[in-house]
Amino acid sequence: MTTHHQRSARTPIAWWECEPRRLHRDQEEITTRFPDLAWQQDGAGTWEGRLPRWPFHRPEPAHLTDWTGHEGLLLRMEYHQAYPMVAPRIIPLAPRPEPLEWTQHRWHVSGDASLCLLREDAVWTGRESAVDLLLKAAGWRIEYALMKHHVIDEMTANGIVSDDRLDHFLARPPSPDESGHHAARPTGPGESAC
Amino acid sequence: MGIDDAFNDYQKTVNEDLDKTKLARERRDLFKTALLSEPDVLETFGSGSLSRSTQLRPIHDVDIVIVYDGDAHPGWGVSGPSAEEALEHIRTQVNRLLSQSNGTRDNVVRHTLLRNHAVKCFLDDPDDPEAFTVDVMAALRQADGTLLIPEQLNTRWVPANPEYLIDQVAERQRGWPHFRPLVRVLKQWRHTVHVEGRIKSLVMEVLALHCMPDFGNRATALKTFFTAAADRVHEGVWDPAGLCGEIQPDLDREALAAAFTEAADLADQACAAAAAGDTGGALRLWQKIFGDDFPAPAAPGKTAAAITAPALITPRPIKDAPQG
Repeated sequence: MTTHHQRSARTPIAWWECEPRRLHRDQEEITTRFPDLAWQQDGAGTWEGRLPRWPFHRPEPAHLTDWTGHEGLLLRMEYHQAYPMVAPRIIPLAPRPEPLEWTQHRWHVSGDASLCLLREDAVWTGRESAVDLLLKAAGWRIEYALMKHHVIDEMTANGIVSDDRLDHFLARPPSPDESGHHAARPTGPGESAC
Repeated sequence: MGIDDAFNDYQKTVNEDLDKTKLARERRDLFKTALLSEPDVLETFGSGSLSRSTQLRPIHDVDIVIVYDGDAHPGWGVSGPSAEEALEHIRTQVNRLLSQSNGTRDNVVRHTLLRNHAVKCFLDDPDDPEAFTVDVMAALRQADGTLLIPEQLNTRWVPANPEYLIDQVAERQRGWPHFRPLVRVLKQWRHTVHVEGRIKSLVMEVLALHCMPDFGNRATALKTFFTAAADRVHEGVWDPAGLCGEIQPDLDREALAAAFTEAADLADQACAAAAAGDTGGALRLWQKIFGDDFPAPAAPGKTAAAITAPALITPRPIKDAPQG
């Protein structure tokens, strides 16, 4: 009993108590790049809010909003108490992938409905910026729209943050047959199945 | 240039010139011999980094301990004014024996100042920021072999065991010939770390005792040290003899841990580059840790880098990493 009481009396240490500089860095980077995300210090902490529809450096394609609507991805980014050694999870809230799309490699969605943004755990060493993950999530939202329009039948391997291979689709409005079952494959170089 | 040769070259920029080290030892020994001739002095010995051969260049000061006969000073060793009295007693003896104007043994001391634990004796102009000084500390030997030393500010005597650290460092050096040189390298490295306040050199020395392996080459040993120290420093750095408590309570542990982590990361990449046959890349990474004094070839052009750099040191930006 004594041991039990001693254990239950322990106060958990949140990751930001051990890594206050990392929290400060994240807050600075994320609020600067994505001012519509709000920090909530519940559990291991979350960021929730909407990403810009086109946060990339290259110009926004002319008809992007015809494909995605005017709003960017609404999401919740959840930290783990092992952060920064473990990457945060990003859960899309709107659009929200359908259960049939979960665990689907071509949709880049994991079994818990979070986005699968890193194929290898080892890619995340703890030093990378969470902003890079959020950028990938913004790219996922656009590829998701193209998947839903049946313009592509699988998402790109590395995302479109700095890759314009899918931009030509977004430069023109969707044609009527792209709302049906037509599946045109991207023609950009280097495309590979993931 | 190979990795070992580069470390040898860099070591020369950290080590004090042999003649200056010899001069510092001669000055220290002059004080020891002069004070040992006093009837109330039982023994004298050097303490501080010079006594452990872990001194960094330039040598501005040396430390010596004068162990007095407690019977000759029955009031010493207990809290109260005796702490300051002991320091004043040293000052009187030093002036009589070694003052520039009328020393009976030599004429080297130009000025003395009472500090918390010791009397600082200036052999150069006190206004010279690089003035050479000898710090003389009074002590009483205890039955268990440890010392009691005066603490003027708190009017008390506190336990200490500087000989323990001297012995520990000597033992590590006997087991691995790179230990002392690398302690000097780490003391130099600490000057490049961005922390609130400063990092005491003794902090680095004690961390080296705890975290430096006693085998292998310098590169792998440093990689291990930086990795282990990044974790260890969070616990604070304490007197290894267990008497004096935390060495630097105001140490900016977090920033130092971050610096250790960064150095560990670079050292890991340097070792990987060397293992892959990319000696130039490895040397440039060590230079990134230790600064421009560490010799390394200039970075090759982009084309050459794309051919020779191992994947480990050219990580792909995460925003372009494979997903799904």
